[in-house]
Amino acid sequence: MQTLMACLFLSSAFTFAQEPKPTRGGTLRVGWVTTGKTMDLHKSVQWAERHVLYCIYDNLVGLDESFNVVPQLATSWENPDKMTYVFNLRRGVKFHDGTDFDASVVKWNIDRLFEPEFASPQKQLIDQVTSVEVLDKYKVAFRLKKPFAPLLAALADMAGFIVSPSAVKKYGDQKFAMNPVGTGPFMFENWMPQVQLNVKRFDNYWGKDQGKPYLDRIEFREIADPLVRQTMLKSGELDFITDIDTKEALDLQKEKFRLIKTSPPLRWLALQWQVDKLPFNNRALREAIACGIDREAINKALYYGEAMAASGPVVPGLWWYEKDFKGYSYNPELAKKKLAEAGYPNGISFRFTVINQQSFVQLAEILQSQLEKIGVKMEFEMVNRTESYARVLAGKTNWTMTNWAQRADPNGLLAILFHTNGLGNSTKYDNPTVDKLLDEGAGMYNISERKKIYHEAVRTITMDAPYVFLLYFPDWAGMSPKVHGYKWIPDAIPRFSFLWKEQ
Amino acid sequence: MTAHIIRRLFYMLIILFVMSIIMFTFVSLKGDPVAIMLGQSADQQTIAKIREQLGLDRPIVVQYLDWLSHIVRGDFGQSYTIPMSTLDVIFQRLPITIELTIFSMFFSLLVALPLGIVAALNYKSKLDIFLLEFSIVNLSMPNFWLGILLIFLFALKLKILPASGYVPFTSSPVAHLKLMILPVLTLSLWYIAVFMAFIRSTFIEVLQSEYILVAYSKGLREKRILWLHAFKNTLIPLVTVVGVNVSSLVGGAVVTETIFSLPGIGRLFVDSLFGRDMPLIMGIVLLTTVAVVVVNLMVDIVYTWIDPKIRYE
Repeated sequence: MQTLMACLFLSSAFTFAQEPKPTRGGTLRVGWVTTGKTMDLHKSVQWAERHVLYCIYDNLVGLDESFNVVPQLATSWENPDKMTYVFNLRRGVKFHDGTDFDASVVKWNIDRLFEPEFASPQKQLIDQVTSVEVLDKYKVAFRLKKPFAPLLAALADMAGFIVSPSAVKKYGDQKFAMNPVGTGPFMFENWMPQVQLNVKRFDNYWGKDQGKPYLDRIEFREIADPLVRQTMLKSGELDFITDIDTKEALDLQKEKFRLIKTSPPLRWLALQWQVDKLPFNNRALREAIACGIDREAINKALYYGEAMAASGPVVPGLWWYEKDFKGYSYNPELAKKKLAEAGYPNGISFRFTVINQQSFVQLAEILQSQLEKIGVKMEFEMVNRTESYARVLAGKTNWTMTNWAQRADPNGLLAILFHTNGLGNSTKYDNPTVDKLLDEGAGMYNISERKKIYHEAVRTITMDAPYVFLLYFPDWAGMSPKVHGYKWIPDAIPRFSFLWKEQ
Repeated sequence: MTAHIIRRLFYMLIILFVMSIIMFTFVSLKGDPVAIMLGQSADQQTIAKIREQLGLDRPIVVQYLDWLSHIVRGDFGQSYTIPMSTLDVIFQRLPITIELTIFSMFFSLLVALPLGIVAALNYKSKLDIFLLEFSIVNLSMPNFWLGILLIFLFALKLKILPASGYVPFTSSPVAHLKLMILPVLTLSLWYIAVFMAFIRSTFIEVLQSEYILVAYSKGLREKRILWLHAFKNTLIPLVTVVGVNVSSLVGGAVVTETIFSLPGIGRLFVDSLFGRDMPLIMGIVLLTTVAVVVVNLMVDIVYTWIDPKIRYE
């Protein structure tokens, strides 16, 4: 923790010393991670698509660096009663195609998302909304089924993006995916899937009074191979890359590239299993494995000390993180005792599904050597990255590893993963106490009361061990020394409107 | 000849039909594309809805027949993973792989032919052994490693070529060709080794055959013997090898295209397999099958042109 604080301090001191005044213009060349499939955000599910979506579109509300909900297309909001949110909308906002933004546009967007035939994956985020009502031209009300505090965070996420209704009508749903129109800082220019997507500065952006955005253009170049991405940053063919392994990031840093990590780390890394099936329905066995892992050793070996041992499913720095809760920690003696208690005094061997990617394979090998010491042997089964989650969700994978980024409300991730009816509850975890806490927490508007509820829920979940939380690890953004002004938002999606490039 | 071509094309239809059934079954058995499409935001309701929209909730046989009835009418469908129609995507990508293939073939033959002949003429000399060693090193170097090495050397150290990426020929011919150099080099080195070893051994064999001895004994000039008699007879087996390798190049291009971020058909195929993008997978399989059959047919025709003794009834 001390080193972390020191790093925090150093990195912020470094940024202050370096930051000259922003200048306008220039093209930013981004090494884009994977193939985007659609630019229709109501259909988008690919992580990498969001890098572009946040350029083209605005949300009703936004997020700042501390994960607070801040005004974006809505300038203020209130709860006249617990079942209603009223938003006052920004005036004079225009879409890239010239359409005016107003309350009827907001209603049209949410209605599109709820259309049954449209099957938007974003719908689940705001399932509690019954209807959207236009109060006047710049005032809109969201009516709820029951009190639902996470609504704001969901609207800052994929559910609250606003597309141009006239563009959707003009192109039709299918063609809109290739012709996106929003109110965001950058306009879509063109896209050749698997090659490059270009956006250019939108001169009528509502943030133009603050000079934003600074860049004239952004080129998102799809480069599949991480080694090639790093090489292209070094050779000056790219200005900005993400998805860098910690080791590579530290190497780049030594070569005077600007490396900015999420600090504190934003993602948690964990093991997961199916708690309703043999053999992991055995709580003592789960505890044995949770105690048999030396998290600091993994941190040193794989993350060079840049990660932190994880206590539970909440990363430090969020308001619902509990500092005094430690979760499971390394205790090989206890682990052996628990393993005997679980009915395996002579050790046992299990199949472990490994995502076929270098960092995951390395992690699996370290875990294998650690768990062997307490008597648990791991047999590896490889699975492709693209299908790993689909298999987990279908229950075809029992024991594997996973990582999740944060959402701006505790309900976001916790209810999805740990509520009995959670949409991503792939461990089949079923604890009525946790369900009750999560339901209560979602219906409360008072943060200090909610905090208590989530502390209790997280403690229970962690100790029940449907997941074994291993580490909180950072995301890295690497950029040329000419690029300035980058900040991570804790959802780990890069934003480019406040970024600028020296000419 | 015409009858031969018609017969070949008829066989092709049968091959296509059988291939399509096999591919369709395997890809369907491998599982559901919708959960993969949706990733971490998948939920059962949305999955079910999209499955229904794509018609994946029907039995495989019905799905296949439906697909077949569209294909017969020339409708390859809409890709699941790229927001374009299957044919549009394929025809956007195919030229890139064809260009890569032609350049690589041309370049490797250009280098391999003289080297192979020189090696054969200097059979068992130091030069021959050196060239053999050179080809063994080339053969044992994996594509992806060689590609990264070339990037390291030319893009990072010498800074004379771009590392990776793609620019369409129409927007900048110079940038386009510059970006093709490293991929072509990566693919070619392997083929240079293959072709050189092949040309060398064939040429040695030809040089030892009786008609060459006869030619020598007639007192013909060496140049004439080598070019007119020996070289021409090396060509026929060479055409076969080149033909076979052209079709395997599509496979070899996958790795190269990924490293150099070239949006060719090889990379598209791998991505479509990972995404279980059935319309795209089937489209690529059908079109590459046609391409392979056509290349083989062309090889047959070239035979008759090189060697008048070969006739198809």
